[in-house]
Amino acid sequence: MTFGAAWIRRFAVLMYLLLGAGALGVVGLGGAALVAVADLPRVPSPLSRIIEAPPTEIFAATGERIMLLGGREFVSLDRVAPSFLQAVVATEDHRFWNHHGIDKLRIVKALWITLARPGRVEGASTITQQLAKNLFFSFERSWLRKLREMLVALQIEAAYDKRTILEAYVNQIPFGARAYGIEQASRTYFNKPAMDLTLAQSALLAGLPKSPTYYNPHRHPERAKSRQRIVLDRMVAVGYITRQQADAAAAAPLELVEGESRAGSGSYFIDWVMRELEQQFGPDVVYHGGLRVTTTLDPQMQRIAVEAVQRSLARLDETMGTSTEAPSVEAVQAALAAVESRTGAVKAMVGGRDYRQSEYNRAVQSRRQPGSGFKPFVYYSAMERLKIHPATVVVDRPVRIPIPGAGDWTPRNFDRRYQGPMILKQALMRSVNTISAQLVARTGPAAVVDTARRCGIESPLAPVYSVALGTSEVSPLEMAGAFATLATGGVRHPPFGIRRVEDAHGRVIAEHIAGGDQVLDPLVTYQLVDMLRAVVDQGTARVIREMGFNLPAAGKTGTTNNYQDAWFTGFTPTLSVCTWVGFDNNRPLRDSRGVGLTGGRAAAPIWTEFMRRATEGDPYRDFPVPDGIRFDTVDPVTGRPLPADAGGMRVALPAGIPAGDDAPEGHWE
Amino acid sequence: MAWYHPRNVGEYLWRLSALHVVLPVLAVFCLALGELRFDWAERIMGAYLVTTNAGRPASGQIWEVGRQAYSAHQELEKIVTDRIANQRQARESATFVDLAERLQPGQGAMLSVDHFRRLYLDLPEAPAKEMAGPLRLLEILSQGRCDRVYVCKNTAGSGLTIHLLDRGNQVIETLDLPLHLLWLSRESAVLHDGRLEQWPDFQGSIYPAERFFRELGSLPEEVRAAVVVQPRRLLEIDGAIVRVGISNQVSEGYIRLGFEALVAGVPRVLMVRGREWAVWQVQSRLEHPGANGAGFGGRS
Repeated sequence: MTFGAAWIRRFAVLMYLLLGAGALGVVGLGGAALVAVADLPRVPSPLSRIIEAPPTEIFAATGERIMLLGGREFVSLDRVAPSFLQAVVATEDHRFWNHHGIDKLRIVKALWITLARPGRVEGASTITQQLAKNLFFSFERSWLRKLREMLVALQIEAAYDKRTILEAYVNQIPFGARAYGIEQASRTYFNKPAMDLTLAQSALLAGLPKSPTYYNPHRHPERAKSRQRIVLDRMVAVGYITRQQADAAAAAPLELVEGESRAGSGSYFIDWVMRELEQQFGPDVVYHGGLRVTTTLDPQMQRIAVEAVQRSLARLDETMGTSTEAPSVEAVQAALAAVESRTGAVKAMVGGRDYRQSEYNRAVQSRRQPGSGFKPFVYYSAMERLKIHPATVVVDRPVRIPIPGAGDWTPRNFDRRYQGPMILKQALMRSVNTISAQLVARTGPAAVVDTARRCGIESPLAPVYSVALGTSEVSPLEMAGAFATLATGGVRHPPFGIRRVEDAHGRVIAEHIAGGDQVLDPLVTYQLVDMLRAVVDQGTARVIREMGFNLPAAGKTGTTNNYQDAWFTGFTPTLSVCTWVGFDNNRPLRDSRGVGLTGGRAAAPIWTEFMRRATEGDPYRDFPVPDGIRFDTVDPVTGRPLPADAGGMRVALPAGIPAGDDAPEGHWE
Repeated sequence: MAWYHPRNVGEYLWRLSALHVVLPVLAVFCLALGELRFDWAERIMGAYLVTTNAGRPASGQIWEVGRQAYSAHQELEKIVTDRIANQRQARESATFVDLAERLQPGQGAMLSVDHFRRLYLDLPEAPAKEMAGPLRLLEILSQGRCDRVYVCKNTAGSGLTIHLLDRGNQVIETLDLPLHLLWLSRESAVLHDGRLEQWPDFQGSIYPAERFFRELGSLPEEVRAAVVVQPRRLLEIDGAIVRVGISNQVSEGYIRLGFEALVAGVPRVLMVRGREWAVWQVQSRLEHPGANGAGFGGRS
């Protein structure tokens, strides 16, 4: 065989091999297509059926819509800004108007990049393919899934015109922040309809579907901005806009609406409400039933609560030398729950420093030791069961309480000092631990637990002596609800967040009836409230008065061992609010000099800032005095009556019981 | 001629340019070019899939969501239908007895204030008094705060709890209506034909009326009132009461009493209920007459 013939032979073999491979490829593709076609999903007709499910809408008490859940807000393409449509097409699939479902050139390019540059994967999905994927397929990556996606895309293209396909696409893509579809996204991020979007806003939104979390403009504005730049560059490259227009749009500020959607500031509240709804109706009805839920949230109060928490935390960061940028578990956290006393309606709720960083709702889900914040239940139990009153003299002294089967309990005061005799009101005002210990030793811990339960504490409470010093864990919402019972003279209104639930046609399917039960004795309750007023006016929470809150208020601070939790729960006649400050990892709260932060120093300022603004313009309204209460001025040490101007302590007493040592239970140890 | 390998390049090229080689190659080339230019393969495939669409499974996320929406819709419809039915039944109730019979334990219905007022006015004296005196009700309703009334049968099914609500659904006043009082009122509205012996629970506890009333009269006023809760109903009987039966069964703190009267010479029985603690006292006197130094014994 000649040299030429040998080469010819080799060439021919190569040709046959290539042809064989090509034929095999075609046959293989055909076979795969047959497999893929076998259980290809049915495409709904008309395509707009994909957005038929009505959304569940959540409204604030004022009627303002605070959240749209599930469903889609369908808008026709005529009601979407052309700049957005151009931005989407330029970024996702610039040959959209020309291809028939798949973009072969892009596939070849993507294959080349994927094979030639290991580690880099290039996508080649057209808008139609993405629509098919979003409608029918999981996010599992497999060749067969990809093939099915392509086949459905081909069918969609064969059955519908381009505008219908684009309309379906822009109405269902996720933009993050629970916004699906361009109308929801536009309202969520810019609080305007999609038809009014500017070029800059369009480019920002068109960049989000690639990775809504990664490019979240609230959390990562710099990433969102750089993604916007990429979109604008694509629009220039495709010829939709000029370079000058792109530069101008890129230079424009983002101007996002405050908070992560209007729901953002109330998201902890909304999460809580959603859980309640799911428990009542089941997830299908909640997410797909198109409910209209009217909640108790007061948006104005909620905004004030968020600001109060954030400002106070910023100040605490300064005091403690902690970083505002720290991950949520390292950052000092706070929670606030505000409950309308006379109904139990939850008006505001903040579950942490920043919902976007941590969705853990510390106002509801977190249970922490309330420390001295629990003492009102001890004092109430003692006054009710032992028939003592605010002017009863007690002695602050070292105590040793034997516990059967265990060692003695020897609680100590916060400052490790003992002040001797004082009246009960003074003891609560100064939050004296040894007095609480003596009281619980007399009533028994079960009585304290019973009082707390009557007031609405539902968390597990251990019936042990230390319950008097707040060693059983409770949530801020429980505390706010329980103190609201004190504010209403002992009438308990369980906290609630859902006022009314209607279906999509406005038919009422559930409504809250705010009934209250008289669970505490009104006379004893009033005496306790009067004592708690002293805590705010002159006691451990006097910072509230120093910060300028002047309306009648009562409350109790709480600080746990080693400064892990700082609490203040306080109330006016209309509003009961609990604030908590602490770390998720139980790190102690200490300032930069190492001094521990108490409830009065860390939590009460949040309460004050919130209440000062939340009650702005409210008329002066005092706690109603029930019949059978009289006021005396007594010596805070001996409990003996003093003339009103003698500088004694004013106490509320049950009528008919004399103050001072003459009383049958006047001096009590 | 047998096939042989081409012996040189020229022969090879000659063979390549043969029609039976060039034509298929050209055909394949044209097909490929046509596909690139006109997407005919995609169009054919798409058109084919459109024809098979109806027979394919409704699977995938969007259909799943559709099913969930359907199930949610069904569930909601059931809730709404039940609620509407409840409301309708409540509206149709002419008396609290009606209403109580229509409600399941734990269920409730919303009434207008006017409807509630009508139901209240229709209540017999005893349960009305137990629930709220007319003056108290007048005081509440005259304030103008009451917007609606929510009536709920308690989970034990033993009573109705009535919440008078303001516009904000806040409870202004809660009233309780024990159902046994309602049953009692209903029972005493009927005069049964026959004698006391027809009711087995009176066996061994049937007494002459004269003796019963004498023993009753010797008891303090509050006991007497608790034994015969509705004396007016007894007075309304057109005939003399001859015998009284005391049931041996206690129901929710009440004991049934049967008063046998001769109405136009025909024996008839009126059932009423008395409070258990009070009925025991009168029965004790009837059973042990000497113990209290009054009357003489003997069952009828």
